Amino acid sequence: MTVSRRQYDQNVFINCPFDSEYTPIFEAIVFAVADCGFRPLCARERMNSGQVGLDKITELIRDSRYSIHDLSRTEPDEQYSLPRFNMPLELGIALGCIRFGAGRQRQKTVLILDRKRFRYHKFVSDIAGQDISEHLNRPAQAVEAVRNWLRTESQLTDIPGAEYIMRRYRRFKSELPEIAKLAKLNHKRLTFPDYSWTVVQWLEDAKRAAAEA
Amino acid sequence: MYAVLTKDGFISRPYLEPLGAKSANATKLQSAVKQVAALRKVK
Repeated sequence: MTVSRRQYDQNVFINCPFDSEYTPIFEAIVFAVADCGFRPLCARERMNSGQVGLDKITELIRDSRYSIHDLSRTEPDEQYSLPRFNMPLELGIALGCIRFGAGRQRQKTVLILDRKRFRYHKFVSDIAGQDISEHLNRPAQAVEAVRNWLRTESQLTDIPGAEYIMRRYRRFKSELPEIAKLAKLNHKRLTFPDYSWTVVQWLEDAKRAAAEA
Repeated sequence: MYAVLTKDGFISRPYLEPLGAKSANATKLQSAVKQVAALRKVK
């Protein structure tokens, strides 16, 4: 079953590395997407787990107008001395939808992230001409890239500035351990549904509190 | 569509809840968010 047109326009599929080193960037991106009024989607059921079927991923791509693809992990892994190819594969699926899909699939827009802006020239130069931003392995840079891209592509006029998002994100992160503790959970091991749900509840609550102050 | 932010820089639209299966811990987390917010007010 596909999502409604409205939901399609609100969904942002996040296709990024699963490693713990990347988690601070991932969590910041999820927060930024939600703070901009969009719905983050991710194949990760758990923050630290790996295998997800291609069917699930293609469904998420199909159901999202927007997708973020982080290509920053190109190094060979320690176990097999080979790089992980999942992220470029999923980017390829999204680009295939834009080129060969029908109807709303052609309206997709992708943001490609890497550590450095022009590093992709050395390993996947065919994507030149796409929207590619660097995050320098810094959550704040990733937030700014995501925010600016959503503002430009959605043409919505009420997207908050990156500094507002980061200020709120820092507050959220400082409160998350206590929130998780009260819910009898470990803030470092929250599943994606738990994390994204908490982000949305926290934003609604912070907005209400600010209005009442 | 022309929309504006609140005076505190929040979107006026509602924030979007995740699609699909709701977090199994949704109620606990919602309550925890409110408790921490209440503590913040006291401080």
